[in-house]
Amino acid sequence: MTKTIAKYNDFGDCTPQTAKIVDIRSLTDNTKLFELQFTDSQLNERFTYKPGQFVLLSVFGVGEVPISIASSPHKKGLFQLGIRMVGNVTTKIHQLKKGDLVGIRGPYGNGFPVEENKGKDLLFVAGGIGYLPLRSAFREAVAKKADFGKIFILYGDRCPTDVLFAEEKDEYKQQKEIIFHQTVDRDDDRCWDGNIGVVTTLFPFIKDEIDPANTVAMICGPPIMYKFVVMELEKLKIKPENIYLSLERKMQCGVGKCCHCGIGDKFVCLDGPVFSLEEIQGLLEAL
Amino acid sequence: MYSKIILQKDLPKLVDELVNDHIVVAPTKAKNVPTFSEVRSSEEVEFSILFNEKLPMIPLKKIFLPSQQTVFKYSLSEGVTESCEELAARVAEKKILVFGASPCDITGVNVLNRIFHEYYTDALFSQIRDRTVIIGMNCLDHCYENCFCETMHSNDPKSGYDIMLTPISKTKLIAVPNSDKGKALLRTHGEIFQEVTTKDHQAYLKALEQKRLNFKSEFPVEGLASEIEDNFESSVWEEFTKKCLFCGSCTFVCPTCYCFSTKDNLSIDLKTGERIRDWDSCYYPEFALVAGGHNFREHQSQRFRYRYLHKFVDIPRRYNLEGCVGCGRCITYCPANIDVRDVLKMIRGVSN
Repeated sequence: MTKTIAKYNDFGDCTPQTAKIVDIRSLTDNTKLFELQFTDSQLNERFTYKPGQFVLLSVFGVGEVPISIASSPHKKGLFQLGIRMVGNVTTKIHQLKKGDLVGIRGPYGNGFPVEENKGKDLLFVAGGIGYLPLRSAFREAVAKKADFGKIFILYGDRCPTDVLFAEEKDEYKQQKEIIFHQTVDRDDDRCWDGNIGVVTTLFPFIKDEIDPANTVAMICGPPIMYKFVVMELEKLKIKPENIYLSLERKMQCGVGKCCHCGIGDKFVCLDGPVFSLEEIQGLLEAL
Repeated sequence: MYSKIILQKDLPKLVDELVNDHIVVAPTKAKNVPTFSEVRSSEEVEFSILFNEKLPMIPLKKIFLPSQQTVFKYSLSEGVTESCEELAARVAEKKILVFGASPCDITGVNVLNRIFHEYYTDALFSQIRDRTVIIGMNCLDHCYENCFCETMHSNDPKSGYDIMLTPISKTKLIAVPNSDKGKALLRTHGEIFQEVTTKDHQAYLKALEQKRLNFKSEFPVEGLASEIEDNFESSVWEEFTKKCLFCGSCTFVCPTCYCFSTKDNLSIDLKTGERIRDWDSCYYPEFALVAGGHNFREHQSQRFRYRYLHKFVDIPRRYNLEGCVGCGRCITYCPANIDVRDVLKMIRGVSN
């Protein structure tokens, strides 16, 4: 796997660049998609990123949090962050309006190896808000689908009201290269007509279609999900070097100094957040 | 010869000259504990700390990575108003001179210096470091019972200081420069110094030989990283977890602990504010806690173990440096009497 180490640049500083919220779209009750543009217009041209990379978002007066970039890299001039309301900073940004200012540092981290796996079948396993960074990756693949084999997408949420981009489902179902399966953990209001159960209950639907020698898996979801998804992928005989996981950790600096994201001798901000299973199998406390 | 001789009784005179064009930081008893602090005259310097070789409570790291530091300033209507680089340039306007740093503390700063320049240069740290001159005070013997610097190979740093003072008799010290800045300093204050005689030089060599004989390694550090890793599940961690109070004292007094957290301070006008970085400690429960409530090191034993893993496995592997300088401060200031040497020995299966 090629390693991209965050390099010092205009965006890699301790100081964020000022960006303006140009659009806000509500995705669910607790999740919004923010469209951002740097106030210095020159920066918008230079801001390039890979799917799976993240930025450190400052809400001035509250603090800073790492957020994956939700938009696709080919979208120039602006970028999107999908943010669920879970902590202080994410709650505050939900109260901000169009035209308000935030701070952006990054992009940091390595991102998902989509380009690097041309010709392969891709299997994306997403849980909850982890769907957003993965969506950025698989939409990149879908946009160039002639370059890839089959594209499997398994997506699980806690409940039907948490489902993100539900309207895109039909678009995926119409394309024969895309195999899209969705599930929710529970359906208390009886409004879900699809599969019910955790994301691993979707594996039986695809197991006969997977060619383990030619499949690369990419995973993003809540920490609890990884162990169980990895077990399923191992059952499918996908090799550890072809399984990529985006790990979540607390971060304060994003540049390998503050130590909050340390796992063994790795820093999630510098060496990750995407690791192959092979890389972290020997790493204590990784999964 | 670049080296010079200075009489012990002239050290205050040297300090009084240095304060004219530097912010001089020296050992004092400002808060009734041995501490590095800014001095405006030699009268504030506690020379006994230098010669009785008691380590200041907080190591030199506090100069380059203060316990609290402004990273940038902002206003809610304009965004960032003063960047980290601008602040760093202002902080580093004046030259800083550290007087009387011990070799292990110099090694500690070297460790941090490497980490704060790796992949990405931390503007605040590097600008302060670049503007700082360090005059070291050599140790010729273990300074107290908690010192295990020889074990951690930290008492003979090859760089990271500008002049090293080594006592060669009861009244004389030799000042050996280790950089252009150090040589320049000896020239500028030439009147305080004397030339080195053949006899002085022989006394210096004898002192160094004595240093070599005095320092003893307590245990080998070779292989320590893999042994700690192999004993990841050892019950020894649990045993010490029961003793530990998780107060974080060991991390704050440690020359190589550098973890920090950031927070925002909004001014009373609610329109402007600043981002602050504060020392943090991996012993605190929030250290690996993320929004949503998942804690990646939920149990105390995981947090206790992590500090040892980070110092003795992760830093050596990532940076090819020892992550501990053996100054023993964590032993001295631990309210639960935990001795890092005991932990390491027991993890290796060596009974005490």
